[in-house]
Amino acid sequence: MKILLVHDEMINESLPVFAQYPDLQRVFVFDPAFIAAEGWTMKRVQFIADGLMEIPNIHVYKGALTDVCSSLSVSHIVTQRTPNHCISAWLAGLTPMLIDYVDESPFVRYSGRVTRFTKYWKTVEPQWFPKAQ
Amino acid sequence: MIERISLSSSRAERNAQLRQLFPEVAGVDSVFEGGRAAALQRLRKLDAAAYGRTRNSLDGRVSRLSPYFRHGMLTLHEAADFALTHFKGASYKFVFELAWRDFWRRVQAAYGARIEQSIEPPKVPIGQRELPEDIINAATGLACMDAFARELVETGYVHNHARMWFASYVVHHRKVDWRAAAQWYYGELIDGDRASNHLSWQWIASTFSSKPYLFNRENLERYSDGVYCEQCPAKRRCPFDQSYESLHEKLFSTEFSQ
Repeated sequence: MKILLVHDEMINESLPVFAQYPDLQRVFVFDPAFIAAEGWTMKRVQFIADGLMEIPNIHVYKGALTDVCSSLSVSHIVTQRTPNHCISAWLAGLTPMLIDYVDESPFVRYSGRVTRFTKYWKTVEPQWFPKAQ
Repeated sequence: MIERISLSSSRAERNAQLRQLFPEVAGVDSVFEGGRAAALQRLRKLDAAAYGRTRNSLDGRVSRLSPYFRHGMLTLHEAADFALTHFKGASYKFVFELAWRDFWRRVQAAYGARIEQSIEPPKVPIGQRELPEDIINAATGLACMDAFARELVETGYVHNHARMWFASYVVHHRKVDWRAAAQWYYGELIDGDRASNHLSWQWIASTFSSKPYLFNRENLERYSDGVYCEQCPAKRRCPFDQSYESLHEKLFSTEFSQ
């Protein structure tokens, strides 16, 4: 089974990944071990649940991500790419399952080094505020 | 053991349901309503021009959109588009601050889990103390810091300037290990992501910036309209009531930092 795994940075049906895979079963997992590792409090869990209510046809589970995928016979996952290393580590627990990542819409185009914000901003500022000719 | 959850459509019932499902997860109910609709409603109220003029004050016209950005309920690009469309050049400061969030995520993409450790050597002596109970319990005796800690725990949201003051107090005055403080703070936030949170703590600590962030009473009083200082039990012995030079000397002299 192939699913659209909705992680905690993509609680929004208008994101491109949802449009790109409209027919996949949407699955969100409240994984107690992940929540504990993150140190989240109840208000965060409730805030996320508010958002899940607005996503049609989503199946919400409580359990370990690997167990949920196993019980649903998931063999292939689609999800949104993220730089969040905690989510990446969580998904890595599914290895060697096939995972396809869809990029989020970028805020700016930038491929330089990320040492100081001022250098980054100097490069990307014209994308939002073009310099007068 | 897995369980398919059918969430109640009533928010009050759903919140109670989640408490039953996750008894091990502590904390109060969320005062922020999540979701795309709530995000768009808040975006429509944005006054990016007023934000630019008043954002440093605790009662300034800040957007409070960060919890929605964090969970993808609204994208940075959408918010910047909205601001530019409605406020043109007056949206500069707002878009500039959105860029900080994007920058932090790019740093996270580059460094991964290493953002949870000091990226650079600190530029001043910093401490490695454990996070003390009086900070967590909002019982430091400093009206401002205790109010900021209470707001964090009760709402999961704190004004950015207050976050900076609080982190500076914890790291530089109390010599707490920034990593322990950042992790506790992250857990209590509803908008927390490790990129913005942990890297901002590093920026304050000077492990990802060229100098430590310090503030004094004059700065805090100005942007908080003096509401904390008036009622502070420590107002006659305020640790922040000094010039920046004195603070630097006091906090980073070898003797104090040991």
